[in-house]
Amino acid sequence: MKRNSAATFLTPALVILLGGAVFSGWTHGFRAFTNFSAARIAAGPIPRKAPPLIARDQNGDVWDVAAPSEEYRLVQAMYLNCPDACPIAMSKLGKVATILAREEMPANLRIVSISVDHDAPQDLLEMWDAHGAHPAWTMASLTETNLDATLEKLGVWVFRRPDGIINHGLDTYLLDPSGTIIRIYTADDRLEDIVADLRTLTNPKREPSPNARETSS
Amino acid sequence: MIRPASAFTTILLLALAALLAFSPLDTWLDATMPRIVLLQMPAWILFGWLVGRKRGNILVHLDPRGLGALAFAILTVIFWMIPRSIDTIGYSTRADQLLHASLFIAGFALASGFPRLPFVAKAALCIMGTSHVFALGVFYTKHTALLCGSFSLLQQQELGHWLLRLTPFILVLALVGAFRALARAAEQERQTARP
Repeated sequence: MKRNSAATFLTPALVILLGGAVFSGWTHGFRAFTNFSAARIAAGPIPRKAPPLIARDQNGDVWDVAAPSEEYRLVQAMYLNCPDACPIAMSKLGKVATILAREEMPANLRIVSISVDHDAPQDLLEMWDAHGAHPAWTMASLTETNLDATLEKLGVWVFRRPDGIINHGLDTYLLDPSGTIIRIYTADDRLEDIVADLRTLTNPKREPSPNARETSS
Repeated sequence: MIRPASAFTTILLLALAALLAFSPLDTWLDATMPRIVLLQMPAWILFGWLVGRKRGNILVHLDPRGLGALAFAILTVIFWMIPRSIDTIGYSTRADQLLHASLFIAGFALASGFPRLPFVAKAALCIMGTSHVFALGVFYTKHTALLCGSFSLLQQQELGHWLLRLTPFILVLALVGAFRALARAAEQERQTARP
């Protein structure tokens, strides 16, 4: 009888404990419920050094997007044949550029859309033109053969579907001049907050806006 | 003592389950998000449930009230509803096999534990299940960002629409089950009250 009543509570308790452990491990401590967020967390906490992102831009120039430079770089993955998510994400990036330029575009900020599909410079140039040919916005294709490993190090999960569609993370990474990732803006972040944060970061003399973030993501 | 007819049914069900797991039908079921969630997952739970109805009593001494079985079934279903888990079915055969095995066991556990639960707990479980189906339906229909990266936004929204369409049917099924259980309980009460 005693054994029976012990089993009544012990078995469900064990199942719940084991289940909790499995759930916690699988979701990185209940923080990552999609492969996109899991890749972001698995890449490591920020600030962290971005992996080398050797890319060929719309003008045909090859450069490392993550190399130390004088500019902050706002980096987002995309590809030109994307049917749904990329046009929306790129339009959001375009709005960031437009809002920033309305007052004064920070001279030390470059927006970089990096293709996960080896898109050709000519095609990138057409897309760049279509998005207003903004001088502070660069479109580039990673030159490596195995892009996915590099993107994984950045924190971007990529899945190449059999039908040719490439599903990938749409987080936007802000690299400081040393090439360190200091912010990750997710698709849920409000445009105004991103702009305010960028203004504060790229111009340290400026008073922090109430919309700017206090700490790194 | 195992009756031959019961053993035959169990073997038949296991053979059908094996056929589902290793036939081209499985590849077809794995191809889209709605097929995985709306056809494949219920099918494996059903297989487990049918076998569990015949053999579920083996768990009674381990789990006298059926609460452990219930917890296992709920946690397993929740695990496979996590977008990251559904995603793995799209690219990992091992994950797919794990889905088959775990949901089969979940169905088995449910068949063993559910009948032993008091009516209130059964009703609560049905209400929770129905509301989760509805909530997931709303979530997948309205969410504009892709959650399951192995599939498409269209499939995600299609799944949401199907879950919303299915909610009233699940509700009706749950109500019918509840009324039948209440009627059975009333009948038993009448019989015990007879002199």
